[in-house]
Amino acid sequence: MTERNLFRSVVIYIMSFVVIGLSGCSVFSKKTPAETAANTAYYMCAGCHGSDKVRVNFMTPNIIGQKKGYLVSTLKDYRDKKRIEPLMNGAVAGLSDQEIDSLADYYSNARLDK
Amino acid sequence: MKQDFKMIALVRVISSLFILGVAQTVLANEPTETHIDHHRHMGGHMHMHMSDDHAMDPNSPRFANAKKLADKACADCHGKAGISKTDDNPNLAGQDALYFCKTMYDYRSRARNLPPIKTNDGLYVPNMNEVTDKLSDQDIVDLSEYYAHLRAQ
Repeated sequence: MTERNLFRSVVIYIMSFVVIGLSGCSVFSKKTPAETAANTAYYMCAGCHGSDKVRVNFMTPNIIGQKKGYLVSTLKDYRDKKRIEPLMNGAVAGLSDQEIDSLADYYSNARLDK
Repeated sequence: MKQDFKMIALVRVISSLFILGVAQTVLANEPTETHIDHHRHMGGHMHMHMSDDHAMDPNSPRFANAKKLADKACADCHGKAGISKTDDNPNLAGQDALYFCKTMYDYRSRARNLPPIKTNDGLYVPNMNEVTDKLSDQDIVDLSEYYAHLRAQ
């Protein structure tokens, strides 16, 4: 009986590590497209295009609050190499239509803090 | 009795680890946002708002020139205040002045091309290449600062 209990607790102990390990995996933390877009914007766009808090002005266009339709068509042109701008072509090369749509949605709804 | 203590200790360890795991997931999903005082961070010399750098005097002749051009050539598609009415045309208000200049030069030199535009009613709308043909270098610079200025209001 004692051995059985010990075995059980050891199994639970090991399982807890598995659960903790898995819980940190991004595969299991489901993100909505909007959250993914916010993440993409933070990690990929904000460095050059600025965030809602900070405006950077090194010849990068201001896209905060820009029209959604324009952003979508521009991003697709960049992705499909219809418009050549090496930085942007590389940056958006891996985006799907869905991701472009939610990213454009994110930026068209964003407003500059002032 | 000894067994009980062992079990309690185990349960405690497991539950604390579990809480750690939950905390980890919660923190991992939190949108990362670092609030940095950028003005202080960059020595206070960094100007973040284009409109500060390119504040245009509304009484200057360059402003008048830009306004005349903007109302005549740009306002139909991009809005009188630089906010366009349709979804496909970009807003110009608050656009970065340097980027604006570059885009206009690119259109004028045909480095960037737009196909001819025709509306459903059969009306012919001049595309950006044709619009920029009529602008001089000075016109473009004036317009860029005019639209950067519009954001400040």
